Amino acid sequence: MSITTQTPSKKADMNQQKNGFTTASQRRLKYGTNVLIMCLAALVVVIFLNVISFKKHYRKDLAVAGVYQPSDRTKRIVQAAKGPVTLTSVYTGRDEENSRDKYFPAVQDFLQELSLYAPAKVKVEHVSTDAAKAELLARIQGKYSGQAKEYKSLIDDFGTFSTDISAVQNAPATQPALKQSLLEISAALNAENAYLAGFPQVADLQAKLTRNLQTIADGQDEIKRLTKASGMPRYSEAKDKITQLLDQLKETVTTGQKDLQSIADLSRAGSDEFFKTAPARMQQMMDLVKAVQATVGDPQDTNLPTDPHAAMQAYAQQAQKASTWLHEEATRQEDLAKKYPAVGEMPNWLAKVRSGIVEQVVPLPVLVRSQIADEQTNLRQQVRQILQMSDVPADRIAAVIRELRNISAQQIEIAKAVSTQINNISAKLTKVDSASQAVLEQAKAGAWQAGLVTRIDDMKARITKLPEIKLSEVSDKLETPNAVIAETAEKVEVLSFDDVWPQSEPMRNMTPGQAPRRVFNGDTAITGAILSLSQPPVATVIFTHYMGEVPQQMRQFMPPQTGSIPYEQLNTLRQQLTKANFIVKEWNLAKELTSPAADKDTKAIYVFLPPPQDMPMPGPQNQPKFGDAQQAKVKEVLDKGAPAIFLCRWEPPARTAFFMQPTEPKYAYEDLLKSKYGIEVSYKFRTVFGIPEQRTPGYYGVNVQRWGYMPLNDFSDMPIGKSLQGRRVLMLDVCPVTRTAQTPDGVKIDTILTTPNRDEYWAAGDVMKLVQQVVSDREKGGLVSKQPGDKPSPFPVALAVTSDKNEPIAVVLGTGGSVLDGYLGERVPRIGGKNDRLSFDPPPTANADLVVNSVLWLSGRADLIGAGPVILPPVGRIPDAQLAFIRGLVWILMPALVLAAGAAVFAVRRR
Amino acid sequence: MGNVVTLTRRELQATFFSPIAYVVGAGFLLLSGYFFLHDVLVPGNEASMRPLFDSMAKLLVFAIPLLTMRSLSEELSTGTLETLMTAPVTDTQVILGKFAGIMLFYLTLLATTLVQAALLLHYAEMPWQAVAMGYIGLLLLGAAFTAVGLFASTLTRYQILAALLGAGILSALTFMMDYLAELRGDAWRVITAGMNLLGHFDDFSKGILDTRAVIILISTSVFFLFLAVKALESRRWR
Repeated sequence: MSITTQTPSKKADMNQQKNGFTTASQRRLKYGTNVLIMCLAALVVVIFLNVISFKKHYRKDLAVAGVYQPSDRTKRIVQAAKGPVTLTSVYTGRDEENSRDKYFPAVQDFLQELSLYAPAKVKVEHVSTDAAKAELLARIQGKYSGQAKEYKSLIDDFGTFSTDISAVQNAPATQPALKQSLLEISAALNAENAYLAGFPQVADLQAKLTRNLQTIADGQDEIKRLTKASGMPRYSEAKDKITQLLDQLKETVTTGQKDLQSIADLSRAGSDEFFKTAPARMQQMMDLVKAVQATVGDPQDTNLPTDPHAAMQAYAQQAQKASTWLHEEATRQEDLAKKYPAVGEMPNWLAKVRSGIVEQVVPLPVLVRSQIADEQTNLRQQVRQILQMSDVPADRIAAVIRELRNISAQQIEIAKAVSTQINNISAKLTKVDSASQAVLEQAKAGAWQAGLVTRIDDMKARITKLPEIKLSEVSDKLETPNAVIAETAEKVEVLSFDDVWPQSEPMRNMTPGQAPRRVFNGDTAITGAILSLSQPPVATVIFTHYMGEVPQQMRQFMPPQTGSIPYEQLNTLRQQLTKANFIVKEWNLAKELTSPAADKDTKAIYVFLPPPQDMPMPGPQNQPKFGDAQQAKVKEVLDKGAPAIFLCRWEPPARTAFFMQPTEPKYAYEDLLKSKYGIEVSYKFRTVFGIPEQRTPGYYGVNVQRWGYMPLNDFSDMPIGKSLQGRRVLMLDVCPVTRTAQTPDGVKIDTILTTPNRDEYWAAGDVMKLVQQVVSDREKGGLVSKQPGDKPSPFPVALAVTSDKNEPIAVVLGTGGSVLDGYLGERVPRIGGKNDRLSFDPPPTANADLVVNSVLWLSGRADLIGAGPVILPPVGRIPDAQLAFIRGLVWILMPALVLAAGAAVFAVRRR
Repeated sequence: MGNVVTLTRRELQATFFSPIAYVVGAGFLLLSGYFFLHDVLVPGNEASMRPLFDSMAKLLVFAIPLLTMRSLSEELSTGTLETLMTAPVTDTQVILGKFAGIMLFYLTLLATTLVQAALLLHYAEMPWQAVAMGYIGLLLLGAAFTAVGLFASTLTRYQILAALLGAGILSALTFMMDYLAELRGDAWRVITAGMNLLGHFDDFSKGILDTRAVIILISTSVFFLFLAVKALESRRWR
């Protein structure tokens, strides 16, 4: 037996052999592989676990509902979206006012939340570099390539059209070249004793055609520049330009057609009974007025009639006879003007009349009726009254006789003038020169340039069918530092910085002089864009107004008859409504008493604008006015249950001329609103904001800026106003809209917006008095005071009406003056900051949202009203001493205590 | 379990006796104090701790590796790990004990910032739930970062290297992922955004509870602790 000892290395080798290893590297390889597999397996488990958790997860906002998570409205809209929507943020601002660092995170958060909520429906991209921007533009351009072809085709055709109308020779018979016609008209006007020269509308037509041809040539260059220049083709602007040029040309041509046809008809009116009998009638008129004068004598005659009473008696009899005949003559002349409108345009048909310091141009029949016939009727009545009196002194009788002589002499002069003018017209009719005749031949039955009008109509029809293309808008907005672009397969919507980050009024003045804070309104704005891109419209908004046409001969003296919120000045509001996915239509009660129909599958919502007030106007008073027929139609629409918005505002007293007394304003729907809904519109009151003057109690300073831009933000929690609570809402000419003492049965009224419960606000019943105080009461230094009868704040300025079945019926907004183009489109001046600098804030867009929300509420889609920005409560004011203490505590004391503790421990350990 | 508690106590004691912990703690408080006064407690600003939470999360990418760097590297360099391994404790218990010890120190550090939350709640009306969610997020994020730091510490006997390695891994899982997400297409973006730990913490700082964020932070912690155990184990067969 022998004992052998083993060296340690041999022992290890034996162990390795026992474990199946021959070397240490084999061992490391085996264990290493084993560990690696285990680690990979663990990684797979981790990945698997996370994939599962991503697919099925729970997410809840524990902060404040809606701050970071999409609102319920957003969720509904996104779920209902038909196709995927790509949302691209382009936030590149570097200035303090639009800094990416400050404003991008919230946009990023919201878009991320949206994509997390509906990953299949929403795709999110963030663009921050020029290269990415260019890529985005190229993508959008590609998206519109199909539509762009149609635009290009239209632009090419318009080029051909402009060439055709400028052609002078070889024009097709059905489409005579416009320039050729212009040359013919010019030749006709320049001919000796030209018949057409007697009609100013022909010279006007010549001037307009010349201008149109030039404008079209210039427009053609502009269209080329818009579509051929480098960068994004601005097809939409080119289309608008073409529309504008075609509209202008059509207006000129159709007016020309009417005028020339009317002149052509008149040129054949020589055989008309009126002109046949005109010389005899004019003579009869002269005889009659002279007969009237003969009863009282000549004004040159210093002697009175021997029997003044008998003379006056004779005057009355003769005046009655004359006035009856003259009224008939005036009617005959008016009938002629209706039958041959061209005659009304002839200079011979108009005469100047001086009344005191006012000189008016009036048509001949008006002259005959008002200056002779009516005057004679009045004088006859006065003379009869004097004759019935027994104790009239002789000198009074003498004065009357002298006055009658003077007036009669004037009437003879007027009759002479009328007679001459009528005879001139009669004579002119028979002398149509050949050049004029050639033009008038073309105008028979409205055939002048009829082919051109058809061609314009065809092009306009094509334009209306063109798909919406927003390349230029995208391009423009991408030029701005911050924007969000929403895209579906076919459409694009661009949201500006102000849409997503509007200014907020409630937090204003935390630091005086600073620009208003901005609040994140992405939930409402971005989802609104998704809504309009992906869902059909829910309502047709019908703007109902009255805009009466003024007769052509009076256009230079009278503006078009319209109310204080003219439809023509609501373009921005209409655009906002279209952008919010509504169809917008117009119903002009002056032209049509039947309401336009709502589009298929949409609900009609009427927006009633204030009709024009009945004002004393110069000239003939027999023009159509907003009256009972229109009121009845409006009532009929409302009685059928159509939901409606009434836009009202403070109506100032109106003057037609500086020397006339102002007339009391009137709101035509006042009684209707009272009886139907129990709402009183105090349109004679204007809401005023004054700054209390500490040194003179009861007096207020008027801030010019707040006079025009009055912040009103006390919206109730009612759906229409709730989303605007965090927004900057600035108002103009607001009038109180209050409940009447008794609300009619079947309706319920809710407040949307009131004035603040503060002494600084009140509704002034006599604004002129305030102005007078500012201007003339120098002792008070331009301060104003409340007057008896003024309404103290708070009072509602916007009300909503629901039926007893909780169906929305109507909204009455006393803030209508705040949605006009001049208000919504203009930037708001602000004085503040360093050196009281003047700067400008964005326009107050929230005003339009008040109308948009009202339409949604009335459509029964209050669920689509945006939630508005969610405002986190701000950090309150901290007294300086406390702030200093906090700084010391957080910044110095706490870190120092930790260091001190460390030092103490270290010292103890060393000991 | 008893072993883990003992090891936790030992690690916590060692951390409290370490000067670097106090330096890191003071620095963390100093910087978080600056962010609090600069971004949060500003009169007129929206009352939210989110800016502070976001800044603190970024600070932790560098602060936590400084706390974890000595936990195993020091044991490796001084040889005390061999002594520890002779004791009847498993590698898993060692790692869990060290992890719990550092987490307790981190919680103490975090607790000191509650003063700032209390100040904000005093000067603004805001939901405490949002603040609580932020702290829960910081706790989970800290756990994940600590696990990564511990793993780095098991790989080298040099503390500075361990800290650099930890901060490097954490930077890769946070800032680099954020950067990479911008480079490629959608699928790449989903993957990189999913791996971005700070992106997941963002939900907590907003006051949003999302199970995805909870799971990824916990699973990251567990995974790196597992790696740390395996790295420690490797000493036996290397």
